[in-house]
Amino acid sequence: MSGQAAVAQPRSSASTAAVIANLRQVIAAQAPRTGVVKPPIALGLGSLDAALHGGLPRGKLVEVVGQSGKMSLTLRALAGATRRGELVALIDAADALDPKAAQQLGVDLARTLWVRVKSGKDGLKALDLLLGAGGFGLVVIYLAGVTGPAAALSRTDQVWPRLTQRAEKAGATVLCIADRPVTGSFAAVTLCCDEGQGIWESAPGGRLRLHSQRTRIEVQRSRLGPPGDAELLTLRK
Amino acid sequence: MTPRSRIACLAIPALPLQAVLRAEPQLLGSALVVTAGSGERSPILAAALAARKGGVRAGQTVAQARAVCADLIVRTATPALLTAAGDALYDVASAFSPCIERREEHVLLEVGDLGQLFPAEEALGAALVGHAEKVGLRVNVALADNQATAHLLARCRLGITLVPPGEERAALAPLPLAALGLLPAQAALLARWGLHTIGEFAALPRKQLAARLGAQGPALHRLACGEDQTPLSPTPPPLVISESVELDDAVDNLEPLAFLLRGLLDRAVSRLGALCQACGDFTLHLELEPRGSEERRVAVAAPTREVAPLLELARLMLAARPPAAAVRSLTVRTLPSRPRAVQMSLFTPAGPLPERLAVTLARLQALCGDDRVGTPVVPDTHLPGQAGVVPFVEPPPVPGRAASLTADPDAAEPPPHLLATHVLRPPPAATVKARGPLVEFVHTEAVAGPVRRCGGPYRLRDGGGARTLRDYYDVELHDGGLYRLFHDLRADRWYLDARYD
Repeated sequence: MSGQAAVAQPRSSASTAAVIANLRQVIAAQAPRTGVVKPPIALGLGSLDAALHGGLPRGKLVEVVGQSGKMSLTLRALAGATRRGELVALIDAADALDPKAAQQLGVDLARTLWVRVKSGKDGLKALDLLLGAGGFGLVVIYLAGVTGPAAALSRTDQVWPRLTQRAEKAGATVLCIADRPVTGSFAAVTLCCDEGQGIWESAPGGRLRLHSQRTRIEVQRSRLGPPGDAELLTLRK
Repeated sequence: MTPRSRIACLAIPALPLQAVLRAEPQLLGSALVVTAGSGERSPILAAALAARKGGVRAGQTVAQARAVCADLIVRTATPALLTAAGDALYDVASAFSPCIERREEHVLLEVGDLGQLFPAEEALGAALVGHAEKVGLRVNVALADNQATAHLLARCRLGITLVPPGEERAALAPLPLAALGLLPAQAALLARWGLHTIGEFAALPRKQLAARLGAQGPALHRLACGEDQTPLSPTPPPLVISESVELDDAVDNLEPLAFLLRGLLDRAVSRLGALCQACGDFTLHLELEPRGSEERRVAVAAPTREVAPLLELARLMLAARPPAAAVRSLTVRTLPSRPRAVQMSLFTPAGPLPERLAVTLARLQALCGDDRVGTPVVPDTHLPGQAGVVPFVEPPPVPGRAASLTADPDAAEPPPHLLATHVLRPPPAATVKARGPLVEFVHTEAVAGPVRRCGGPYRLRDGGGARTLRDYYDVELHDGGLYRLFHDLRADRWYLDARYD
């Protein structure tokens, strides 16, 4: 009641002007200077999101390497972006996507463009085209499991600086998934997935049933903060 | 109050010449002549200024013209070119008035109700000329109270001619008698009388003219006096925008074809712009050498007036499926479509521009193949790891996500911790050593080794009458890798299906 009474009291014009000026200063300090700033793409993994200041950074190249958990991490990122209503693209050099699993993990398939390239080199071309088109919040280039001549990435020294600049200009997050590092020093963040460990449970008849896989994802290198943070994940089948 | 009737006439002087220059603007300033047909003996219909300065005149044969002008450039006025120029003039007129009468070399339009938009008729005339220049035509414009006066003045006077109400007779008076379209006998008779201008003819008594010139005498006299009550007979608009080019030498290379296509699309889009419309899906009609034709349809994601994405789509389509033979004629046809109107949202993320997205998708399809780019779909099957693709169409914004960009990401429910699979397509054949339901050893080209743990089998069948019958197994190899295998019971073969990832 006292607050209401205080509001109801008439103010002098000088004090009202002072309050308005103060409010303007406060709002100006907090408001973004250029348009709407897109928040990072949250992975829904507490430690990793905290280490990355909220999730995968916008306009940056993030690389994921390692043994297991890469596809799960990819689908989590796609789900995080499509949940916001953003368009995403998956450049799949391994032709490895399981749409049903993606749907179960929360990916909005209608907002997903799936590009099944035939080699890593074509994947880089597709990435260049998609970043040039603009409008995609997240572009994933999935090179894991690609072997033989298709895995060759020619002239990467020239390609990655250009792609990094394009990603920054488009405001899109580029997630590069590979078995081993391919982006050199152009990735803002490098995440490393350790070797997974299967967790089995007993099934009737003395048999076994795969229950889940435990994996550890660590921030191996980051320009956003100190590396070393890790997330231990248990992924249920 | 009913607005006063005013008629504007847009006439194309030297229509064959302008039709050719519209298709090949690079010939402007050259010694160009336009003929009715091919061959050295075909007559010249119109000659450009440079050719006329060289002594070339309409009516001469090409051979005669070449004799007086060495650097002569000869083009044929094809019906397609003439029709396209006439259509373009109609499109210009339809940007100003719905009531248009189309003739061969001119159009007449009712502009009496444009006083609000153009208080001064000079501005209206200038706007008509400006619109015509946008579609590549130079026209003469005349505004009068009746169509006959407007037509005569537009045909005979260069630029813009404005005739105030009631001054039609005075405006027509200086024009030569030939403008009335007299028969040779009538022209000879009037020449014998010593008459040379319309004004002199209009000064004659009308009743006596009937006795001398027959029934046509008074009609010609009324025309000369600017007295015409004939209403406009509106012509329906062309349903299809069509632009074409015929080539002297057939083209079998994509690059020159794309160059020609740019000109056609440029002209079609400028005509659509005059109609306040945009270009949607369009058709390419290719006449092939020596005979035969092909029709290609180019799908456009959203109607646009930008030539570059349209050209790129057509180019990619032609590159993916080149014509079967050299092309000797190329036609672009499109239906006028409403331009895309987009209400951008303050909060939802903006997607790519539809025309840019369409070009990107076409480029990706050219890179990967048609069936390898699109939206993933879950097929109607019990078998795991199956996938389908449908063409990608940008979905509309989801209601309720209006403030998603600014929302706290932590507030949203995180995705479940589910194990995904890296599907192996096509599944590599595996050699398996099994003891009963237990798989003990797996060997494929990519992975091989003893199995540490094995789960399964899970029998799945699919299709009517169980055409597919598989036993699925989960295995953990000695290196810790988790894989899914299946045993095709019909063929008695093993395959490595996916890696848990």
